[in-house]
Amino acid sequence: REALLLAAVSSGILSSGAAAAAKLEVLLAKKPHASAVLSEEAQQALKALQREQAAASACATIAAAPTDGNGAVARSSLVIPSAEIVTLADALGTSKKKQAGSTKGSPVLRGAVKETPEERKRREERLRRFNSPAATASSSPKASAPPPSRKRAAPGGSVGAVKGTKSRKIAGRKQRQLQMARHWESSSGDSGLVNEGKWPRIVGTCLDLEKSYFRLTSAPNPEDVRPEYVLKQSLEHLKRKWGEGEERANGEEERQKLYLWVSEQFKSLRQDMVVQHIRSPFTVRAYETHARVALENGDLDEFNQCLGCLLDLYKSPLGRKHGHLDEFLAYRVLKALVHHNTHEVTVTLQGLTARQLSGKAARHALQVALAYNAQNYHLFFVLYRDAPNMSAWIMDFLVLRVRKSAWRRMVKAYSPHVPLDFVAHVLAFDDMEDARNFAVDQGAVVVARGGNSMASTTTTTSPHDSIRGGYKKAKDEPAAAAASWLIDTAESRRNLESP
Amino acid sequence: WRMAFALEDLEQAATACDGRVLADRLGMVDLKDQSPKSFPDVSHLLPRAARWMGDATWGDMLAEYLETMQQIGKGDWAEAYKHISAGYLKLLSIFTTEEETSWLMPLVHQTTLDIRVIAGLADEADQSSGMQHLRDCSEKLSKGFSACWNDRTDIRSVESKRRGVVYLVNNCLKTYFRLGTLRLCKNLIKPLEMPMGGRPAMITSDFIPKSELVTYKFYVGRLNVLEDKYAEAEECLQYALANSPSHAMANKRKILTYLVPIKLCKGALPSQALLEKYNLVEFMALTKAVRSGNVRSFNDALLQFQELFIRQGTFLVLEKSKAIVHRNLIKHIDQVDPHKKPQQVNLVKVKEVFDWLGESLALDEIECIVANLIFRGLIRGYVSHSKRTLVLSKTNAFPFDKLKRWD
Repeated sequence: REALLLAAVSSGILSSGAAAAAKLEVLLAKKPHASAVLSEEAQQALKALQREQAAASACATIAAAPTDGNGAVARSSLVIPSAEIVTLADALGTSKKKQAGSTKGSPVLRGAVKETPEERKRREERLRRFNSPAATASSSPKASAPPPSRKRAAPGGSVGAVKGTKSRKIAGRKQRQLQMARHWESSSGDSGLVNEGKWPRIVGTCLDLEKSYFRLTSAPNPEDVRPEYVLKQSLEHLKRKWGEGEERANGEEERQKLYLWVSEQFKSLRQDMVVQHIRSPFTVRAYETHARVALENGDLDEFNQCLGCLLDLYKSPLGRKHGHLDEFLAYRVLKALVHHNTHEVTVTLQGLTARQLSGKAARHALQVALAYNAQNYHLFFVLYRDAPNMSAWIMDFLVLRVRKSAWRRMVKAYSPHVPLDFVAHVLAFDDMEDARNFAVDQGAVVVARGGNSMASTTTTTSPHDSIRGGYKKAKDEPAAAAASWLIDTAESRRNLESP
Repeated sequence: WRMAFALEDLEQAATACDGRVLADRLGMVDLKDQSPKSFPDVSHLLPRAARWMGDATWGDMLAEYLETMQQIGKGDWAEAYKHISAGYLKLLSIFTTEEETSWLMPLVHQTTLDIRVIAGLADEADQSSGMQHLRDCSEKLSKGFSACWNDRTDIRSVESKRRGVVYLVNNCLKTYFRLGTLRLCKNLIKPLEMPMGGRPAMITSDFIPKSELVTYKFYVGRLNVLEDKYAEAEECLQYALANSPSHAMANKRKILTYLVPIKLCKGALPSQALLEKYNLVEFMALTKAVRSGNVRSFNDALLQFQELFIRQGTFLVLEKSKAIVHRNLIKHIDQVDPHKKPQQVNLVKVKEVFDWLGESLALDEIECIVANLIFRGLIRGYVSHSKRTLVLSKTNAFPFDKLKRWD
């Protein structure tokens, strides 16, 4: 009966229907094996729909998402069995690499998600920069990621309470804005925002959509500052420019140049907002956009700043309503892990309400924190493959660390051999070459399985294939040889201890 | 409390350089239980206060103290705080600028305590202002710290003001913990812990009273827990526990709320007797689960007190003790499995047990867990990936010396 239902729903998907997709998702979560019933097309369509859905509104997806069987416990347990993630990931096909959520990252700007292999290639590229001798020597992203630069503000000056209240019926709105301003003011005691109190509040008159960034040393001229409505248009303009530029850009250098330009524009936009004491839903949007763009380009410094400001803005209920608190809470937790800052994770936990805790991204990030704490590399990479929004971009910085520690553990525990493809799968290597290089870097001694490596792939399939049905070998031709590679753990252990 | 309050008393004490009497007279808060004292009306003394000791600074200081008493009498904590912080600043200026003022140390200590308690009360009374009193208090206290610390007198002499610095540091630490600004704690702890100029670290000196040292170790231990430095944390908290007076049950319980989780994730389980003695209900079910390796009841116990643990900041630490649960579970499986080959534990069986206990993990993840246990030395053996079994070593496969009971 369920099979029939699924078939009906899947055909419904082929025609249309976000609702059908959501329903199917729920069904899949409950009955993972049922995915086999779905036709191939239906699965593809479902995936495409899901990407679109995610692109459209992350919030809606979260609302429609299955409750993961954790029940309606007021404070949902963090102790969540990982099986559910595994089954979901398996059910929905190979790893959905970094589905850009509602981010303003380029895939969405362009209106289409990139092809998964390409996305994967780009990520591997990014990860390779950590493989450089310099990075491996320091063995911590501290080399590549400067510590957070939180700007400490003195208790802020009076946030300009009311802006542009023209009609009389806005009396209620005025009241709310005053309250909001007061609330924001009182909560900004130790904020990461640049000290607004330094600048007397002014209203700008400039109408430029693009403006370079100059560090202000004294109060600026109103003619140089853009008022809010101009800033809004400027933001749209920047998003467009960034999207187009990304598409046209060929090569890392051009992308870097484009990013530097966009980053400057964003900074001047933020500065204009600070100078005019603008704190509105638009502020939240602008900071979020900048944060995501910065994260996409690995600019942790700017990202830290934006994150600090955003956390301050989220203290007010208006900020929470118009911003994606869930998403950025997740980023906060993950960033804390990157900086070895467990206290920050604890503080985040303490500050969360039950409802916030059950947000999809926040929960994912907390599971990552628990997995990371316990050195559970398997769970870590499962979560890495299935990360919501742009969490995977931050987890990139943790990947090398976890891989190294995982390597040490695997080499110590397994004996006498462990298949290279298994290691590659567990450590989320999509490219066997990368896996092999990594292993060799760590001092692995790779031997071929007894017999010819090329010929009999059938006989040399590792028995774990049959146990773990969903596992697919990485790539076909080169892996035929790789599948028969084993890592001699005893030798590798010796190499590890005395490099 | 006192029957009469005479300025002459104070004047006598001051001329005799008796800091203790002054502290006792001018103390706002009872030293034993940190509750505010009650004062008679001293408004009639205010006009004369300004001429106290014939010195304007001393007089002003006394005036502030008297005002504070007045406000406390009225129950207006915010006002009281204003006056006492002003008085504190004046006291510090006397303390640092005038010569031979180390006899004032008891008064400095007393006022430090007063200012912190009153700030706390003021914040409690006025919840909406968001801890502004405590924040202000922390600034004042750090001034007090520099006043004590920057004394050039040789520390070996009894006159040195540095000798009283630990009490101030403790109050600062307590304030920072209340406020949550833990990064400022480093600035206080580093100077104390660092050996300077060929001499050992100041914190190891023998003139520091034990009570101060215990409090200090407690806060430093807590800080270490938050920074994941478990070995140092254990040392500090253990010292604090061992050196607390035997009747101080509440204090020892506080120490244990941080010490038990650390030991738990190391594998040293508290005895039921210990938990009952200090009424540590939250750890009882948890310890039982760890001991028996019951993953389901471990998760349940953690969920039951999740709020409490998160508030205390020990949740992540306790999560780490899951490894011990796994170790015990595998040990039990090894003992109980009727069909097994000697010294081998079939991981598929382990997976079945996990499934039965409500935590269904993939086989690969179980391998990962076992790999972690082997790496940590909690299991001696190796995993055969192709056969999906854990092969245990013949001798001492589950080393016990890693786990110890303690009470």
